[in-house]
Amino acid sequence: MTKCKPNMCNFWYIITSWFNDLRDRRRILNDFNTASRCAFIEGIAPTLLEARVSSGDSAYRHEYSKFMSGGFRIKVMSGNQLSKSEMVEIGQVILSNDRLIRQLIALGWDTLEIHGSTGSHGLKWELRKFSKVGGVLNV
Amino acid sequence: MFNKIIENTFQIGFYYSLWFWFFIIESLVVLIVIQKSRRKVQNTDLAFKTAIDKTKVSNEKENMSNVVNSIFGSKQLYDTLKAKCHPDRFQDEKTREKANEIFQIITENKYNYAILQEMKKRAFEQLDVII
Repeated sequence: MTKCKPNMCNFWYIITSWFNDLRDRRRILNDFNTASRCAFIEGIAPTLLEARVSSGDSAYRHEYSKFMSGGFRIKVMSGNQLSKSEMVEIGQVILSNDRLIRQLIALGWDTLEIHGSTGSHGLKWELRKFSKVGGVLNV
Repeated sequence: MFNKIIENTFQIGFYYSLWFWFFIIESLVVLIVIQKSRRKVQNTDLAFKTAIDKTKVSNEKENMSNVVNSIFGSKQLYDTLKAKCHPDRFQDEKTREKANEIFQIITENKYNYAILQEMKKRAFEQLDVII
């Protein structure tokens, strides 16, 4: 067994990777928001969606979770409270996209939240359950 | 403030100034860090590989417009495709096989708008179905 020594390179790597993660997280949120804005302007989407960072659920935390920012919240500007089936539909589309889910997990998100513009009720899912991670390694 | 510092440095003498030594030490630290990070990438294969993987991950962009379109349009398109491309609707065996293949892809990608659009085109070309 080798003992890991903290050195300058590790420290430098931690700092750069932290900034890279921050940039990638910001990029995903911006991409989603611009895409939803474009769809709303073009008339494809009847309502405006907005992706935000929330604190997430502490019960859903995993090894890569970011402190106090593990929630990927999609807010629907519907004007009225969304029904449960509508929220489930939006959630299913995102959860069925394996690549996006893996990307979200790798960037430190652990919870997917869907909220309407009014009311405090929403739905949340544990991202790790839908990532299909945890199989036996083929060595 | 800044003028005072400059005056002080010239009064004390440049080599005895605190700012001079601070600058020297800081630049040395920066040089060491840059050199170490370069060496690390050159020497260790593992670090190099992970660095490449990381850049790949960061460069791979998820098509967010497809995600947003899927949220609003995939259900409607899936329902119409499911009804129009069902294999039982076709009598000829060859077209039924093609319909079966298309139907399988449609059911697998229920929430993927881009793939459903592709299947719509394919259904028009191979099955003569107008949607």
